[in-house]
Amino acid sequence: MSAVLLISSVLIGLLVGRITHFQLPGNFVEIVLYALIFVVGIDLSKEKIEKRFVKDIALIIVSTVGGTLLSAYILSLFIPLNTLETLMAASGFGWYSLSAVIISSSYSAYVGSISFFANVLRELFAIIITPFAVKKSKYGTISVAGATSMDTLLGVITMYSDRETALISFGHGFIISIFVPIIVNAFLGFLK
Amino acid sequence: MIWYVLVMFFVGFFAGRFIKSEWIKKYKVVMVLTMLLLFSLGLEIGANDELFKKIDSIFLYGFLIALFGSIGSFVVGYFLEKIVKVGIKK
Repeated sequence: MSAVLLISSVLIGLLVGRITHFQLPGNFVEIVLYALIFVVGIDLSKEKIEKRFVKDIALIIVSTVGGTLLSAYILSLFIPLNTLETLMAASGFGWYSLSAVIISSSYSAYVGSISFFANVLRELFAIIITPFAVKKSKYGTISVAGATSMDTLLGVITMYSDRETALISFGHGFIISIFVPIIVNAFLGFLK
Repeated sequence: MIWYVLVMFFVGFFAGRFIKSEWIKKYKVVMVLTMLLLFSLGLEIGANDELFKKIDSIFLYGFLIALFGSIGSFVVGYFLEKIVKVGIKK
């Protein structure tokens, strides 16, 4: 099972990191990511990008941003964090390195750390649900993947769906990735 | 960083028009690279002591935000997809 292999990869990484405290060379993760994106690019080049993808991508962006912020707002009514902090922590849409760093350095390390976990777990949820959820709803699955639908999850989504979905996933992830710093910055502005 | 990702994608995308891509499926390259990436991410988190010290209090809120955000966006996406499909059938 591919999903089991993927989850095991994360868990083994966590365990090895915990035990050995091994530090990867500076930009190792990025280089692996670039290699992955390059290969996926070659793989997808055999497909034509059709105009109708624009509509799919736009609708999925609406569900990603709207669905995430709406549910985070509801959650904020029940937890000690204030509404703007909760919305800001959720606004990484899976891109934990960026949102956590921005929030930690310019607002609070505590909220930044929460944002980190929220977005790491969102990525993990996406990895776990993609193999079966993508058959129920492509829009929903890509939405859960959020910003990672263009990188980490692009590989997973590509494996479990078709090439069209992979192209939509990439387009969605790219635009959401641009939205992350903009939306996080907007909430920071309101909090200050 | 996001720009490098985009550049790599399009370099691959255009290079792919001139080179064969059977080896990607044959050797499961996407799978192997994805596993390596996930392992690396796990390793980085596991090796960071600061993250593990605060893990108990931060984990709960992080988990809830991830859970709500994931369910919320999946539900909205699910219904938008249904609506679009109905629209196409009509």
